[in-house]
Amino acid sequence: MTMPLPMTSAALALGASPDIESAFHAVWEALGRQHHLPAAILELARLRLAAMHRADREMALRSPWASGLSEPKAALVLTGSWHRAADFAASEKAVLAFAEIYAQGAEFITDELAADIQSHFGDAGLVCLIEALGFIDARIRLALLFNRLRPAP
Amino acid sequence: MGTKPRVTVPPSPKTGHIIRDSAFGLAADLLEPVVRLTHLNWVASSINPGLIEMLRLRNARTVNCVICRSTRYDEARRDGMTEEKLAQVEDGYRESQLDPREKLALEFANAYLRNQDDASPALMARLGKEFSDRQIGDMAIALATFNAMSRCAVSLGGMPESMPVFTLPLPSA
Repeated sequence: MTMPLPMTSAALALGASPDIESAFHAVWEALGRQHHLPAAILELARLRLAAMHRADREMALRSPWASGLSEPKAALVLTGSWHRAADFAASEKAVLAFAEIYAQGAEFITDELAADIQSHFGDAGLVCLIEALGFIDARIRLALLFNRLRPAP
Repeated sequence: MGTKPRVTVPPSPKTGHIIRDSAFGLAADLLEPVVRLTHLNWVASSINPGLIEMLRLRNARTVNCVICRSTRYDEARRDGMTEEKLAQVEDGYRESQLDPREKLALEFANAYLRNQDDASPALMARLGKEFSDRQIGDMAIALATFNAMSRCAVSLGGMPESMPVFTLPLPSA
């Protein structure tokens, strides 16, 4: 099996059964098409997860849905200095705060963090964010895992 | 862990599908791709249902999703999976009575779930002696899906303190 290495979350080829690999990719594509959350905010969350994984290739990556992303904001997210920056909207800060706690453990998410997301994006936005973080984190983990299992020559 | 549900699931219409009728149904744009993936992870896999169930339980116990920990799938039972065996899918699995192939699959799961730095070409070489590339890919995507979904369940709140084991049919498409 030939797989492009090193892999990133945007270009995973895991060699799974074709129907399964295709269905997994379809979830990723759906994240880019969904209407529950602004794509640029989702990309900020992806970058925060990438930074928390210390995943250099993921931090350098911009997702296919990242159009409209502010690179100065991305830089603040990647360094973890977004908390004190004035550039971020309340909705962006709510998503970033949620993503940071999610990365440390879903059990640490508080009702307040969830309510903050709901105040901006409603119940559907909260569910979408939680699913998106799950599958974004999954793809980052898989890229890290397979790049270590099969390091580039 | 939040014991109060954080979203209100619309009371109707109910479809009879465990995912569509849950809070996941609220994010309509993601629903069908997620439903299809969870279904295919079982029915299109090159891995037998019993071993998939072990990977699922390893994830459930790592994330500490009470509902996922209490769930069993009937297809895994038909494949011969027993509670005695599943009880060994704990942190001490290396010293358990599980067979070497099962222990290796759990080692792979731990590398995904806990520390990707534990993965190495040496682990890949050992995996390659027991599993085909396709099987490794199927296990990886199954683990990724189980982990994402169980963390979703915990994040949404409403998790009970404990619950008895119950058996379900595989999630349909």
